Amino acid sequence: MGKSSKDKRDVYYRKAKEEGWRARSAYKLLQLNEQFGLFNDIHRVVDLCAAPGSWSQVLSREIFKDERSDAQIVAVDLQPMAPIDNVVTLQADITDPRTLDKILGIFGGEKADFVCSDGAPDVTGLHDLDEYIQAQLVLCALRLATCLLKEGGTFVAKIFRGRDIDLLYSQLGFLFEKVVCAKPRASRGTSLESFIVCIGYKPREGWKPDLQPELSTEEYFQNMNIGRARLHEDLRVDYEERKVAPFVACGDLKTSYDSDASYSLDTAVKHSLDPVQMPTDPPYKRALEMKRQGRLRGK
Amino acid sequence: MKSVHQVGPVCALTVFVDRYLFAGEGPNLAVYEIATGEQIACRAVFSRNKIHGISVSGPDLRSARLCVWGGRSLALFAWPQLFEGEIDQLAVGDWIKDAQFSLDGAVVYCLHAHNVVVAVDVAGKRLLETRNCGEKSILYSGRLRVLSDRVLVCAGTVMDGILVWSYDDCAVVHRLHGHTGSIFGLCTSDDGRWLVSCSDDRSIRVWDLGSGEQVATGWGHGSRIWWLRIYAETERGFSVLSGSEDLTCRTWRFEQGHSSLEPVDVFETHTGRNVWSGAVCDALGLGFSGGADGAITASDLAETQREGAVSAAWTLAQIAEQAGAAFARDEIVKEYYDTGTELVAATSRGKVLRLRNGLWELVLEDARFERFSLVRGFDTGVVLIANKTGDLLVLGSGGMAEAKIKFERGVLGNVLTATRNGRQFALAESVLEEPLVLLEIAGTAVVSERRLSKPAGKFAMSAFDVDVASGAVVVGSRFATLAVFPGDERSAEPRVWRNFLKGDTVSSVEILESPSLQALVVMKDREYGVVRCAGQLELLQTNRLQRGFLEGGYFEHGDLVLYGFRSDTFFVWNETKQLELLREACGGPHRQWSFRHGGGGHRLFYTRSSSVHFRQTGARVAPETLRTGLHGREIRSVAACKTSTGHLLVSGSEDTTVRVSRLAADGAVVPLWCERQHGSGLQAVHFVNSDYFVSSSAREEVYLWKLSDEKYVRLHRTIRPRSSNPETRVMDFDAVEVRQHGRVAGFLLAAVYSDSSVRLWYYSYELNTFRLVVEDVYASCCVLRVRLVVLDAIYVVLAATNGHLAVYRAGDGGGVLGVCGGAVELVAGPDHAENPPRLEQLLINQQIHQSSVKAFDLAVDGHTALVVTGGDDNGMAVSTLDFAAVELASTYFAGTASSTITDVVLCGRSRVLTTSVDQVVRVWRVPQLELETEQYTTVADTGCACVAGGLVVVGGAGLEVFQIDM
Repeated sequence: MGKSSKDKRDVYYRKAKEEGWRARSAYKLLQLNEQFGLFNDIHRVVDLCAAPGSWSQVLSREIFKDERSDAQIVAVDLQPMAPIDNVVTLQADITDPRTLDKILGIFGGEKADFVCSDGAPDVTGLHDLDEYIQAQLVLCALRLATCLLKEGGTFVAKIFRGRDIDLLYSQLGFLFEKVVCAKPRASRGTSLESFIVCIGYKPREGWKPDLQPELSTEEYFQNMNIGRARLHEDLRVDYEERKVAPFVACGDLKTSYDSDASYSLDTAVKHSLDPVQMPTDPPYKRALEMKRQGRLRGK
Repeated sequence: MKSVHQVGPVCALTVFVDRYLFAGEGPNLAVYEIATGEQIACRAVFSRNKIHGISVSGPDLRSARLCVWGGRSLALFAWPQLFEGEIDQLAVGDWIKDAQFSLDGAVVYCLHAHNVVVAVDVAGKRLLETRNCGEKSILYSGRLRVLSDRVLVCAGTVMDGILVWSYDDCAVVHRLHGHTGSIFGLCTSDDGRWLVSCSDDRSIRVWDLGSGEQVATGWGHGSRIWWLRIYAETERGFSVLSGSEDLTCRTWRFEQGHSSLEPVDVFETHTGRNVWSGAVCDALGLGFSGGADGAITASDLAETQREGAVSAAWTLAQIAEQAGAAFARDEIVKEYYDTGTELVAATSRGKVLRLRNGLWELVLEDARFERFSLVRGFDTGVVLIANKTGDLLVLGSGGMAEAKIKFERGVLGNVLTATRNGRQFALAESVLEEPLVLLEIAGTAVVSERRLSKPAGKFAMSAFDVDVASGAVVVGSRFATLAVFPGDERSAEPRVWRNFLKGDTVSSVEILESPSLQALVVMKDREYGVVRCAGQLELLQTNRLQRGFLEGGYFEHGDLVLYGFRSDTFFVWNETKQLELLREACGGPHRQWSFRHGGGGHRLFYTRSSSVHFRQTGARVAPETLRTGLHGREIRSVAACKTSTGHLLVSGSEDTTVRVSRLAADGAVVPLWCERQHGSGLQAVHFVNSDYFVSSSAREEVYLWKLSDEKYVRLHRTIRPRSSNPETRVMDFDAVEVRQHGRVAGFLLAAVYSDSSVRLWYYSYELNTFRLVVEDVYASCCVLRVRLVVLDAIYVVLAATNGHLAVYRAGDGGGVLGVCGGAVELVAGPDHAENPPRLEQLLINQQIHQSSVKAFDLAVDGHTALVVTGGDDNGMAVSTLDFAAVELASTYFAGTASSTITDVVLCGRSRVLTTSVDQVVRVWRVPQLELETEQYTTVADTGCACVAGGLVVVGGAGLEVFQIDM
């Protein structure tokens, strides 16, 4: 019976269409960069969970503003992606160790300065499960990042600021000089979404990156000793440290739009614009076709 | 703070020994006796996690061993521990997908989200070993099947189909590809031969675990399918119960050799979105489901096989043959009435037939009743047949009588019947404008006749009831008209109200209370209401369904039940508990049908392609609901108001409904109404006073509601949108009383909008109108909260997404408003102004938080106010706002929560309560902001709170009530 109450066509959505970004999330990275100067002096960049490619577009446009730039950008996703200037797209699984080798191959064995991930699962609506899956996605990206990043490198990833996010803040604190929770103004205030900006990668002492296929992400980080709970003989529940990361709002209050505000159509785009990114094949495509044809049966 | 009540997503259901249902209600494990619906045990098992699964082992309840899991938590305990002692919280190092006992109950196998099985010694609560198949991919779903000779692991991956592996040798048995997208649910047959699966692609697939072949596919759900349960296993096949995001549970049948999983039934027993859990009691043929709305319902999977269940149809030829009557070529069964034990029908050629015990017989044939006849009846079993000229046949158990209805001028157009306290009333209407004729019939004899003057103008009666005590008659008609004929004054003109509710035809009227003439009125076009009509017409309750046509309604055991037609089905809906009681595919709305209820059962006759169909529901073996739910999506705002027995709780949700519930002193929440007037997700609900509350949402909807009798609610007035952008949300509002000539005349409402608009409206109780008195725009950002403060002037304090707190002096609204003794006075009656004045002056506009000020509360003392704000930046600020000096002095506290602070409620001047998305409710001492107490809540997306006496109500994805010492 529920009618949708979400407004999908906010000002950033319309602006993204106008300015040729593949998704409105481009503004989030732009605002993060505005705040943290993420793109200063970076040469090797990895964009994980990159499809449809709006973050790679931002990386490409911003880094290659300087035409002499020798930067290399690799965008990885399970889904195919349309080509982007100055970006090598890789259709690969970020949990697969071979992906690491491929990326390092492209970089000629050199390590990366910057790894980012804007990945999110299709949320189910069951908050604890969605937050768990999102945390796993961050850990997958982080696992690759710990193998790819040079010392002092930067890691940026999308998070859901739910009930256990303080565990992740604490654990990231073992790996980076500085961990900040950033909320770009392009990200809706009503959404749990935020971004962790982890600056100054410091590999764990005495630990060597080794992506073994038989280790799950969970096991990988247990070996790293960053305070994650583990399985004990007596099944006891580990105490896990919780920390609140400093919060930084990004995007200039005066010049950036407010993603929660309703802007009248007169001040925004009047004419209808075609979507920049064609819709991908959703898993339920066949079900939709059957519904259209009246073939979804049932009383 | 102590949790005393919670309602939220039910994520685990398990049937034990065919008699008990174990349910995970947030962190609480509840046990119900299925036959009675009685809760026999309930206790919290986890401190933080919701229960996602329950396994029970043992021959009976007393010796049962329980394995309960949720998130990363695991608990192993015996039945008596549900009542006393501690329950140890254990962990297996990862999110648990499934856990099952070994056949002897000594070992529990836990499958976790990285496709690893952890074996646990139940007695010692110690790890035995872990095993995996070499692929530790992340799983969305998993199912273990413990067989006599092996343990089978079925793992539902995110992108890579289903992996079936054997625990015993860790070998992958099958890789099942066929679905697209993540695998959300899996279930195996008892013997481990069959596997069913569902995924993001909205299909259900059946796999032969012997061959690894996909053998059947089923389609039907309109959204994602979350879980599956196999039941009714036979040699040849089995049935499946599925639960989905689309709010329905469906049943399916698989027979070997068929490639299609055949859809059988659809059950809709939840609201909002998502049916999260399910279980089947095979022995009783019951399917249970738990929803995001917190409801647990029991659907009868074998209803048509129950005692008393009938599903039958007769063609005209069959009826003629059975009755031994020759039908003319064009003769059809035109009208009928179901007495509850038999059906009396009239044909187009004047035959009167009776269907009794499944057999048709001819009662009589009378040419006077050819072409036009009406068949009506009474609960007593007496049936009336009338024709145009007013000839009346009265058929009773003792025989038949004849009577005549005489009109002065016209012929008979319609007859309606009503049974009250065993007394039988018939109301007849002429096709011309002349008095209605009310007959009372005792047995089969007309004992009294009364003429009721027909209201002038358009009037065509469609429903009526008689108040036996006073003799008053309430008649509903087409054109949304209600007429009341007083009992004692025979010649008196009726009181008539037109368009008292939206819609056209009044489909039923039932008097609930005498002598106030409180009545339930149901309109065909989905609206219904409770009215009081002894004097002036008072609308106590108004509401509507979102789909279908309503043919009637009644109260049963205190619950309102509505029925009618929707697309191709007839439905019976429990409006109080929000669940469907009956769904009969009958081909859509019918001219000819007859519905009766009583004793929990339903009887429906309808004509379809000239055949007469009969459906009688079988006896219920268990109650329909074990637990009543609330909102099916996130609650965005809650408000409470004291009543004589406790509180009324109003909640607004993303599911677009406003719910009114009773909040008992012990914290129990009993739903009264689910108002569906809003067309978009709710933003705010607040009380104006104990009689009125206001709600706001997107599409610029601001609705004023009036409460009556501490249990009824009606939509009283709406504010017309000002802007052309339908996406503008009314984020918040505040109201203060306005006086005129020493008495309360109305209230001033300040509303803030997502397009940065700020509007002040004056509402007049006398005129029942909202007048815009001030209109302004704060900035370009979304304004989130607002409060009105009345001192020497009217001040508007607002908070926005830019992290600012702004204070305006409102002005007088163009000479309309004044302030006297700290109260707003109406100086002049406001006229409609297309361009009202702006706010007089922006006094303060100060940034306090980095980003959105999500909530604030203030306490005024003299010319200063203590203001406490909570932000998206995890921080809080305690400020002193001096209205006289125009100063705002703030102290900011960073990191007061690990996530967004969503609500701030001052309790007096020394304490403040906050909710935040980290799911912690905190109480602070102010102004120093010292944490006094904190309490974890299992309500995720925690978004709002209100204080009601010694109770705190917290809303989000569910609702939790805490007892608190303040």
